Amino acid sequence: MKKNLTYKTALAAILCAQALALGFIENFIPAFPFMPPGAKPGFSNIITMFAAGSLGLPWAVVITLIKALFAFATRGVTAGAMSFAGGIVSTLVMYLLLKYADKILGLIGISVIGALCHNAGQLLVSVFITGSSKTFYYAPALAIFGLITGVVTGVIFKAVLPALEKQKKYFFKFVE
Amino acid sequence: MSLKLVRKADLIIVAVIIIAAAGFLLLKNYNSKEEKLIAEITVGGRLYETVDLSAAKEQSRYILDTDPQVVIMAENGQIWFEKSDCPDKVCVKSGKLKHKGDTAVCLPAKTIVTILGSDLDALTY
Repeated sequence: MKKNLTYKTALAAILCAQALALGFIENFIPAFPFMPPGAKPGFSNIITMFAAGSLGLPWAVVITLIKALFAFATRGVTAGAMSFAGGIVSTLVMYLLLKYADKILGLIGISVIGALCHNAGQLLVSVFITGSSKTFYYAPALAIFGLITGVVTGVIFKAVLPALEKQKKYFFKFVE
Repeated sequence: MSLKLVRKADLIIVAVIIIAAAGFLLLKNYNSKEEKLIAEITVGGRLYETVDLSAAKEQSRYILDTDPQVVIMAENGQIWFEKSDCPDKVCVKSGKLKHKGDTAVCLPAKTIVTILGSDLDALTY
């Protein structure tokens, strides 16, 4: 059991690194015309989604926290708070959907809802920070953008799932 | 977890989001033929300045003593974040606002610029 925890920790660390790397690569994607300012594709959601579905909620939350900590360290308090708020809401919702609604929803549906929950969490924090609900003017544009990125991440998730499963098996083959 | 990529419910969700977002956008632009546009600058939820965009033919400049500092400019019916000392510069990247409902936010400075129509009172109070 204790040995199991060690391998899970190691796997979670690798997944964290992969999530951060995906977040870094995103910076090189040029902004396209209809993109709401400050919006990002959120490719690291692929990793949190995998963690939520395959490693369980605690590990998915740990990865989300480390992502937020990284945003805080590299981009400041606001970015950290936004990463945390969006990440925690979407991770929680995706975990529940993957666990209880996987016969109703496909990966695309779960990924899209995860993206929208990410936006919703961030909008709520932005209301808190600015003391004004005017930031909700962004909601429709964010919803459309979240829909597009949600579909894209869902498709990529499906494509890289075998590789992620293989990576997981590599860590767990030592357990038996 | 089940690994199916698309299910019927997914398509319904996608359709609902598109319809809802399109509806909101249409509502926002519905009576955008206003001749009188007023911009509101709020800092931390408090009204900092009201700028009559239709009247302001000349360039006006607002330097806000927020932390980080932001500079807002207004000219020719447009208003925009000219400069910000924050790391992300999302507000500056938002570009020039000129239509009713256009909004730019600088989260670190807690500053929001919004354009309201002449039905200002109905919207805010």
